[in-house]
This record gives sequence, structure tokens and C-alpha cells, in this order.
Amino acid sequence: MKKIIIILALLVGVLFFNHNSLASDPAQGVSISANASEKTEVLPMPDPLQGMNRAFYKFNDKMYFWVLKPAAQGYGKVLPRPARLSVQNFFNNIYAPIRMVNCGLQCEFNEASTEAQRFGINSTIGLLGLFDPAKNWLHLNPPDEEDFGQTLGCYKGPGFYLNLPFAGSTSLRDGIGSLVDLCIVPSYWVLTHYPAAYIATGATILEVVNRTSLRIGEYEEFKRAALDPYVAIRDAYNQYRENAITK
Amino acid sequence: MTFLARKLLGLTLCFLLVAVFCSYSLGAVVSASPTEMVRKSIEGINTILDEYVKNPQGKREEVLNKIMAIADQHFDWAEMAKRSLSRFWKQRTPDEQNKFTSLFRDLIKNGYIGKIDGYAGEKMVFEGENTDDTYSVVKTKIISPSKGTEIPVNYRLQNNGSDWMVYDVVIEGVSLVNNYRDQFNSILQGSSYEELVKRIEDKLAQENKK
Repeated sequence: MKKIIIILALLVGVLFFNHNSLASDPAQGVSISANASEKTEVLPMPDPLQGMNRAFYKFNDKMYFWVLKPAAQGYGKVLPRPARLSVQNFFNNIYAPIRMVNCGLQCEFNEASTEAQRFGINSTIGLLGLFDPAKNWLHLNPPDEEDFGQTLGCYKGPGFYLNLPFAGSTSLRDGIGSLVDLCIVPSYWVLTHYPAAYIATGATILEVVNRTSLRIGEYEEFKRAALDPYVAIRDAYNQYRENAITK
Repeated sequence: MTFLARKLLGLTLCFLLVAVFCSYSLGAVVSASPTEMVRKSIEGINTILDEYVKNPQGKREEVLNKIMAIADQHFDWAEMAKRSLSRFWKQRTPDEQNKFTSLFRDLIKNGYIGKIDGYAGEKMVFEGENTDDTYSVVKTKIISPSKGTEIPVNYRLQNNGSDWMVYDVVIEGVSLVNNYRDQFNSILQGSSYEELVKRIEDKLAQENKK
């Protein structure tokens, strides 16, 4: 008898309490989520160096419109799109060790193994990563990209926002992360020694111009939609990184 | 088991059945599922865009208005405006709230113009949905062969009693509403609501001139 009363009480309890309100009052700016599984409210990133960051943002913005965009448009006219997609594949493949190591550091061993297999297959059959047979033939889809900034993000917040000349948006944590990641790319050790340093710089420029040529118009669109592009980019970077860390 | 216990058990079962039935019938009042709703509106927009790509002589403004007509049916602009103003929303009069809602809609519309020309037959795939009584997240991915990218886009919807309405779009983890909220906040903290409205109006006027 007692048991049944307890069960009844539990059932009634469950019926009432599973309606835990999923959304707090949005006007209070508290987290709003569906199925409570998704964290949607990201704390704003501190920006104590806003003066400097804004100056560098302006610099990067001008660099884009005056140098990078014309260069990328010219480059795009010379090299057809499929070739540029292959160049993008090539660079993505070079960075596979970074993603693999960081998957491992974040205990995502399945993903680390996928990265390793993709790297092996694409570097050989995929002709130095120019093609992606791992995905196209073997359905080994690229896992979510991991980097050392995200690995650090499992323990630490971003610190504060940084907008650096040429590099653009980063944070104290992610900036340090990028430096660590650089040491994982095998080519870094070979290429930073003179005279190969020129090759490394050239390769970086090629990578940036190539990527930009595939995405002309995206930054313009983003700017068009924004009321204060600097704040919009800072927040987008913050939300994007937080999302990447929780994935 | 005693007679009383059996009766209690029966009652419990009845109670449960009624509870289950109620929650189902409540759900049935809402017409289309969130995914169906998103699918329908995106397909509608894609049809308009495909026509525009085939026949680019059509006026951009006209195309945009057709797209906005679809968006108006499925986007809860007031809810978006409210969330993007967050705590400052309550301080506004209903008139100001209405005006701000229409400004917010124009801001989105203005931001969308560029996308019309950027459209290159991107494909959208549905990756599932998370739904409860009031809220839903529809997960999609936009696959762009011409850029070699796959971008996750999640639609957040709220049930307004009869329909599921979109109140936020999250692109690669970046929520549109949160992004505007951060921008509005930074302006409001430095100056006033009037200044914010003026800046939005200036922005719209400046873009329309181009």
C-alpha cells in the first residue's frame, strides 16, 4: 500500500516537474534553450584593449578592400574554381596533424583516428591532399575541427579579445593556442629555417588568397548586415569559438 | 495485492492515460511540425532565388520583397526585436516597441540583399529537430559545392499557440539575435535608445542610397 502511494506521488511529481520552464524571461538576458541541451547564452568576451583592437580592425578592413580582395579576384580569374578547391584541400590536409593531436588531447579518440585515416589516404591516394578520396569514396567525413585554443578552452576562458594585424580576430587563449599548433605542423620545422622561411611565408599568402578567392562577398555581406561591424565580428568570433569548444 | 491497491493502480493508469492524451491533443492543435515549417519556407525562398538566377533581369527589390513576404509568415519579428534589445525592451513604450520591431525587420532585410546575388544553388539538408511543448531547434546544413564548405544552420522556433515561428537563426554557432544584442548593448551602454534608433535609420538610409 505504502509503495503504491509513493509511486503515485512520484508519478504526479514527474508530471508536474517535467515542465521545468525551458526559457527564462528573454528580457532578462538569461539563457534560453530548447530541450535544455543547448547552451545558447555566451558571456560577452572582455575587451580591455578595445582602442588598439579597433585600430587594427580598421587596418585589416582596409587591407581586405585595398590589397587582399583585388589580389584574390585576380587570382580567381587565373585559376579555375576546381583548382582553387584543390588548393584549399591541400592546405586543409597539411593541418590534419594539428586537428588529430588536439582531438587526442580532448579525448576524442574516434575523431583523432578519423583524422589520421583521412590524412593517410588523402596524402597518398589523394595526391598530397589535393583531392579528398577519403570523403568522396570512403565516406570518411571530416570531423569537427579541433585546435589547441579549443583544447585550452576545456579548462580556461578566452581571457580577452584581440584583433591583430593580418591575423584578425583571436583571443589571448586562442592566440597562444595558434602558436602551439604551429609547432605541430611538420612543415614548420623544415620551413622556418632560412631560406625555406620564404617558402613558408609564400605558402601562407597563397593559402589566404586562395581561401579569400572562394569567399569573396562574405565579409561584405557581414558588414552590410552589421550596425557596428567591429562589435559584430567580436561577438561572432566569441560565439563561434564557444560553440566549437562545447562540440 | 489488496482490492484498494488494485483500484489505486487503475486510477493511476487512467490518470496517466488522460495526461498523455491531453498532451498529444494539445500538440495536435499546432498544424505543421517545426521541420516541415522550415522546409516549406526555405523551399519557397529557393524557388524564388532559382527563378532569379535563371532570369536575372528581374528586379532585385522585387525578389527581396517576395522573400520577405515568406519570412513575414514564419519569422516572429517582435520576438526577435525583443530578445535583441533584452533588458532595454521593457523600458520602451508599446509604440516604441512596434517601431523598433519594424526597424529590426528592415535591418535583416537590408542584410539579406547581398545574399541574393551570392546565391549559387546551395543545398540544404535537414539534420534533425529537438522539440518540446514550446520550443524547437531545427538543425540544417548548407552545403556549398562552389566554396567547398558545409555550414550548420539551426533555426530556433517558438510555438505561439497555433504556429511555430522562427525567433533566431544560428549559423555555425553564432546566433543572429545574440549578435545584434551585443551590438545594441554596446551602443546603448555608451549613449541612449534614441541614438540607437538613429544609427539604425542612418544605416538603412546609407545602404539604400548605394
